[in-house]
Amino acid sequence: MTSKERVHAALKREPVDRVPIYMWYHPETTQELAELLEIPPERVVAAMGDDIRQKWVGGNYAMEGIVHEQEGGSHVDYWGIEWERIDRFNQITKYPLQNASREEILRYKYPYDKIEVLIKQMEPVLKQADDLFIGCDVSPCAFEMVYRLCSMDRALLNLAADTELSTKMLNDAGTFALTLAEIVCERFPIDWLWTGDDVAGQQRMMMNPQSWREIISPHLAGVVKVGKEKGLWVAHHCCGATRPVIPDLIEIGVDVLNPVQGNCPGMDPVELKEEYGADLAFMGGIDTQELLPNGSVNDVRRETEHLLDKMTAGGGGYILAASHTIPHETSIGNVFAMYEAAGVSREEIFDRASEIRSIK
Amino acid sequence: MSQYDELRECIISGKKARVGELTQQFLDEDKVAKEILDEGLIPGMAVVGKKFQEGEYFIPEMLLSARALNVGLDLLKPHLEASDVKPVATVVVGTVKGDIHDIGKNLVSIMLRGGGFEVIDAGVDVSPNKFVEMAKEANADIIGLSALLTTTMPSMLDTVQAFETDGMRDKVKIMIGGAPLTTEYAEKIGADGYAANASLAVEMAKKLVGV
Ligand code: B12
Repeated sequence: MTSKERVHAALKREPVDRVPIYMWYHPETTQELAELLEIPPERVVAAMGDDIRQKWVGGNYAMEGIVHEQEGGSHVDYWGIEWERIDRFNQITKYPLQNASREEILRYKYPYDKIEVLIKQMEPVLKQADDLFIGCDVSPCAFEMVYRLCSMDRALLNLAADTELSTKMLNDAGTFALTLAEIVCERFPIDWLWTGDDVAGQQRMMMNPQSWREIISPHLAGVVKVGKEKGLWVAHHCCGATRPVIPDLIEIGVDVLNPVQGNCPGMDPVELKEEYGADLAFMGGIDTQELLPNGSVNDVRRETEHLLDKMTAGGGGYILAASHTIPHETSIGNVFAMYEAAGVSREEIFDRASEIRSIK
Repeated sequence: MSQYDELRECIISGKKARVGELTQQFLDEDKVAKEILDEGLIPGMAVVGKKFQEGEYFIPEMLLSARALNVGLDLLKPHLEASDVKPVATVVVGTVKGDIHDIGKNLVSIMLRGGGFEVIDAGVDVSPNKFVEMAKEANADIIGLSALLTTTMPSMLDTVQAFETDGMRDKVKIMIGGAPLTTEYAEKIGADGYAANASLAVEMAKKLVGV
């Protein structure tokens, strides 16, 4: 099976040769694996056998797509957000609308004129579209985009203090994501549309689920619909304790939920699979807060095997992934243990690495 | 019925303008600032904390109440200082080195302020030495450390050790919190307490200073 066939089959709950895999690595882990496998860092996922390749064409491009050589390197993105490399990842150091007046906020314009540049990110991955499953990330779609512009505090406060302004800001964010989605779905032969909007913490949702339903969800629904109408799968990312709105996500057409943080209340992947598995597939669930950084190789293998057994019940609907970026304190042994449990042996990975070396 | 009922209600519903009016009105009537604080603002925030913990309030509602609380506190502050009213205790709160998640830490600060504590917000990405420095400067009783990443949890241990190295460890109580943390971890690194949310943080802080 090609990777592409494998992911499609898993999502259709049809038989697969092995579970599809899509991991997010911390750059230090990638570096460590690259050295071990004696290949360039950008070839690590290929050697590991991951099945999905994806690029960001929305706000996540500014966060993940621009890589600074040095710690402290910074840039201002098309949205006016200032980013700085802190501990290998770009983090926001200046929110353009944090102290802006209401009028300035109302005048704020999204970078529609940069869309052509943004969607160019897709070109390199599309070259691999014959064999690999290709995704396009248009997130953050609503609330998360608003907080990147005006800071988390202000975005959250506004939900209660100035619903009108909140609604307007969410509308603008949603409309931009929708436009991106329409263009990429029309233009590119992608396999899934990736949406996302972080609205939950470790214990529960940041805002009342009811206000989420009223003013945030309609924007997500719009974006999801674009993908569905093109016959694509739609994946949605939201960290934390999102259980209260999972039925809503299913209703608006989301096919795959990521990252499933199993140690948040209500988020046990096996329980979610039992309750929602008929309508929803899952990507994630391998704990990054305790298991991966602190567990032994045996713990990781056992947990992954257990999860695979339960999460593929009913014929599939699961993509193996950690519940976010694999933290860099995770041992390489633990990384291999996840793959081994999924039927990808160390030998297979090293063989692929040597193939990569010989082609170079 | 208490004369402070409306003030309390306005804290709970986050009506900042009305909190300002009422607080000023009480001051003009020569009410003692400490009484306005203890019978109006603090009990109001206690209800907010309870509603948050019980899942009726979420972060936006809490921030709205905090904004109203601050209006009241700002008006009372000069009077409290003039009459030499001491806060319950002084707490330096910050997110540890390498970590920039700040909403949780902000909520903890809000609830502590609402509980009568003096809070100094050290911000995010705070180094162990910076915590020690700020603790000295503020003559702090409690240090509150927040971490949201497993990667930055070790920085809590470094901070506890920095207090030890500096001979400051027995002068402060250290409490910790944040998504990946637990009571066991607090024990392991030699911190004095852990709390799972902002309301429990106030209870823990009170326990640590024995009130
Ligand atoms: C919002 C968010 C962000 C925002 C933060 C914005 C901001 N201004 O804070 C941004 C986008 C910046 C961000 C960045 C990152 N994040 Co983040 N983030 C989150 C998210 C979704 C919610 C956190 C939150 O705000 N919760 C709401 C608040 C109210 O809850 P809280 O912080 O837990 O606080 C409560 C209690 O814990 C307690 N408390 C908190 N502090 C204290 C302190 C004391 C003294 C006490 C007593 C109590 C206490 O009281 C609070 C109120 O009740 C979490 C998901 C999660 N499960 O938590 C991920 C999460 C924490 N992030 C994660 C990751 C991986 C990252 C990044 C590395 C991602 C990346 N690749 O860039 C970066 C790291 C940045 C850095 N160096 O710090 C992972 C961490 C996993 C791990 N192994 O630890 C999480 C868990 C997501 C996941 N799916 O795994 N993130």
